[in-house]
Amino acid sequence: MSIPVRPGGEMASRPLHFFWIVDRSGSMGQDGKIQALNTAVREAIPNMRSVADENPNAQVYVYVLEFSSGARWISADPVPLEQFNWQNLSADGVTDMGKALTMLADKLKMPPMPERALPPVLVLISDGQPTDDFNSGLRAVDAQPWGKKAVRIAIAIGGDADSEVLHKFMGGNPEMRPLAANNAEALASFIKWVSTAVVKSASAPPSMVSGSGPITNVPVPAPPTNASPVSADDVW
Amino acid sequence: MNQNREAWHWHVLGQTVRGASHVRAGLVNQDAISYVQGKDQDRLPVLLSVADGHGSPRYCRSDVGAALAVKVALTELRDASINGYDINNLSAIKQVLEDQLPRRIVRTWREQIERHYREHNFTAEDEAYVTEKAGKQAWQRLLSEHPVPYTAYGTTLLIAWVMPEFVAYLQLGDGDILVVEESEVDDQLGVLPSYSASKPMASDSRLLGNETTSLCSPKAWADFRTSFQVMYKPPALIMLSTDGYANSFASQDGFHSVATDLLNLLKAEGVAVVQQKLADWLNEASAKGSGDDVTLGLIYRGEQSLLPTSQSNHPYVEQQPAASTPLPHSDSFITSRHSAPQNEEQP
Repeated sequence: MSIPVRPGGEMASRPLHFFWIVDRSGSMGQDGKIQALNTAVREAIPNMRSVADENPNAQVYVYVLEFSSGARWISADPVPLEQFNWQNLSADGVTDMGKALTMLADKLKMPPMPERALPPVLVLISDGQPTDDFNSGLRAVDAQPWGKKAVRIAIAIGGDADSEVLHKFMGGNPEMRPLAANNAEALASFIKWVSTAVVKSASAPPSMVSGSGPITNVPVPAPPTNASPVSADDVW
Repeated sequence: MNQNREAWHWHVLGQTVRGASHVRAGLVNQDAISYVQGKDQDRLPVLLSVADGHGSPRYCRSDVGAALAVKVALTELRDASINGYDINNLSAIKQVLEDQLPRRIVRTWREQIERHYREHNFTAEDEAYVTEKAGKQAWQRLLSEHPVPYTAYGTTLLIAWVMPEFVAYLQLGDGDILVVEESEVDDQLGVLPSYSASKPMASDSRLLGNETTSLCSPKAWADFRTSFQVMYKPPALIMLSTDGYANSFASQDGFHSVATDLLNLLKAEGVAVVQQKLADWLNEASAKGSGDDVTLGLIYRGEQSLLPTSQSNHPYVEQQPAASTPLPHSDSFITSRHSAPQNEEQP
């Protein structure tokens, strides 16, 4: 019988799974929206890494799920934040948001999500209305225990985005509405907020009584106020 | 007539450490641990309790809640041991465990919280802390719990209770109870003991992520899980831990192997050596793993020997049919061991 130096197996920080769920439908190609999105996420990555470094007890993994006509995972497996790079998306097709949420629900099952994980962060970004069965997709996410416990943020790009659908995705709580990004500055500000402040909160969520959270089970700081348009031409 | 009886020499030990993330954030250790055991040669009964105060800002006194919870647990089980039941009616004991004890624990805990709050009303510091971290609405919600804000003291609670006739477990909230049992395996070298760790109770599906059930909930007694096992073959080891420990291991198997490894370490190195090393192991777990406070309590079934029957004053050795046998008076218990001092710096 060998005597261990210390009891137990391999130790590890807790995984935090961060999902970008991104609309790249044809309308995102208008007025520079997809370019602004690509730039905003790429520029937020260093800040995201800095925030993640402040908490060595959480390991952030990033997923990118893009949807237009159908939906696709950019990489099959979660990518550790230290290795994550944003691949530019191009705009084309319709808005199969329901399909994306159904695929998302599969990733939230246990397994592959471990029970010891931190509550995942789901960030849905869209400029339009779903062209498929959104409600089925949402039900699939809600059916998963990790889907129920996830921090859900939605960013509505421009005036044609379906805010009610995005609000339903966030749980329909009147105290938390989708973030309205009407220009590139506002989008960049919101992208930076979810990449830093939300990641920081989700990396070390304090324990709380089940069902007692006022809005979400992970306390999320207030988002930045919407940046004013630089000019009327910049409003999406 | 056989003057001797086979008995095990039971040991109880434990430790609690402040989490690595709590040290960074300047927070206190919100866990607590307490244990007692008998003075008979087998050192039974053994009572062990651990608690984990909630970390969200509105649970601003959860360290106090946890410290009171472990004391209340031991007091109530001690009372049950002394006053409680007919040892010949184990199903009645099970009923005490599943229904009466949870209610009594919750009631007594709430009484203790009421006393604490009467003597230590909310201060400007409490308001500033909760408001800054969780917002004015959270503070207003706490104040609306009139006359006593039990929420501020919210905590989990885990208990193990070992008697000569049975082992019982109670759990409210997250954390883990593991039991290591011995079986025999036929090997080319003969029959060898084999050990495996398992959970004596089913999981609670509500306990995922950072959410838990709690003593501060209005019907907390209904959220207790219990398990009662007649002592046909006593477990080799019982392990209670707060969730900061399990969350520090990459896999469930890796965490379960803690229990079997600890048993091997206790057998090889002895209780005193293992007790001395616990703080280092728990600090390592917090630093490399969850970052949370980590608390671990162990009940170890030591060596077996023959004890003279006539010298044992334990009432359960000589059972009187259909009689309610009094337990040893509470003075016979050794002084309980409480949680480590707050703000203890890690090495």
